[in-house]
Amino acid sequence: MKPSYIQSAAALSPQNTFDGSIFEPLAEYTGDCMVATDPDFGKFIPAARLRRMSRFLKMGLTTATLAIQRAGFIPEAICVGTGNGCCSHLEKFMRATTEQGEELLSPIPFMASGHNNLAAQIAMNHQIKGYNMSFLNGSISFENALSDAHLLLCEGQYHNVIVGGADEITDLTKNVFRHIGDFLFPLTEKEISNKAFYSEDNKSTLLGEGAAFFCLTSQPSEQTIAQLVGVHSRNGQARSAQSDKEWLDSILASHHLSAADIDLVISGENGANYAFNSQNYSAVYPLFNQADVAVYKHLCGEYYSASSFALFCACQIFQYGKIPSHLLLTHLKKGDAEYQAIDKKPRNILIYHAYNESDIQSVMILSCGS
Amino acid sequence: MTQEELIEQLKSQIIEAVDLTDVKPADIDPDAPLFVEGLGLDSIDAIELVLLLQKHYGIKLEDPRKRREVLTSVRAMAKFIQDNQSNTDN
Repeated sequence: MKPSYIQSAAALSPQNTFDGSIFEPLAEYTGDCMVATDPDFGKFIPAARLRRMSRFLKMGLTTATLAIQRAGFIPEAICVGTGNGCCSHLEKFMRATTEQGEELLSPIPFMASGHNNLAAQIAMNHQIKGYNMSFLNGSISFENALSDAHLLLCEGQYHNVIVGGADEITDLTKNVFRHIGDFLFPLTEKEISNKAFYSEDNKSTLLGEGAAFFCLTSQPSEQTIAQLVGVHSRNGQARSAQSDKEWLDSILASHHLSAADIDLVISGENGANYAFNSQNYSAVYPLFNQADVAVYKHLCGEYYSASSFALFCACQIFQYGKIPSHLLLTHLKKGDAEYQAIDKKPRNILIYHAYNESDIQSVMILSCGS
Repeated sequence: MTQEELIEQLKSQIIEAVDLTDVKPADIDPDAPLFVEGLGLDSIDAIELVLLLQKHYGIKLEDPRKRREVLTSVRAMAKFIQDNQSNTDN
């Protein structure tokens, strides 16, 4: 299959990535979550629409708008991945429903609680009348949105597409995640710092939130940041080091690549020193023994569409031709979270995720430039 | 409660009901139109104001023609509340 081409990238996260980049010292967080840094939403969204929007919509629409501005064209189609969608409006509506005995319910939280609201807002704000799809598939929502965008371009249905992932954290979702342990997020008595996520004795991680959007085209241009070679996922498979190796080898072979061609693996390991992480991530790293391993959950926290932030990191590494040392697992394992730019432009980056729910795994492969 | 006191109370309730986060009660002219001009509210906000009257003052405003008459300004809403409550009292 042909590649598609990433022309712009924008991310709103707990780090200074909206106006800045990942090439800045790590902003430190302690407690139980990492909250995205709000830009001036009013510069991107008309005031009349802004007042009815939840943070999820504000974050997503603002980031999508920045990606479109950076691309310099209005995309023809929209693909969005989100795990929680407009959960704050849904919570507001459900709370009012129970507290007020299903009477005198305000229509706005109900109208705005649809998971596809973000894709609709992007369409309305930018007059995008083509394909519009939202993917609500838990931890794999963004991968499915990206895969759909990639297929739309490769099959020639559209010339350009905007694709992104977004999720917000609320008090209710925070409590739900803590109790169901969906993200390997155990209840912890002591406060932890994101700077110490990957140290040997850490047992926990922080929840997070954010939005990342990308404008993709079917043809390369001078502003192309990276080629999206492929997006793959699987679930319900019995997992072992051997089956992971076979699956990854088959993916690489389908793109005429070998493990030795991968210079950088961006891993979704979230820092919690669980048997799961060591089995499912550490088993994969030796396959790419010539590659550096980078992690990013200490920048953005853990949330359903966090892999969109991984893609943003890959884009910035290609754009700047550098790797920030505070992303490299070898540095972090030694307790070194200080920032230093390492001059190294990878040729190929593999973004790998393994999730505890339903044995889901995903892979995104990127190659530099056009 | 005097009409002026009721107007001040209504201003705060309207701000909360329609999420006018950047507007303070003092910014609202009680005689200015609520819709299009003035506060710039729209038809969805009208539903919120009807709910506000029912929730806080126990007044059902079901007739669409009456809604257009009552939801013109904060002062008109206050007058309607006072008239309705005094009618109920009688």
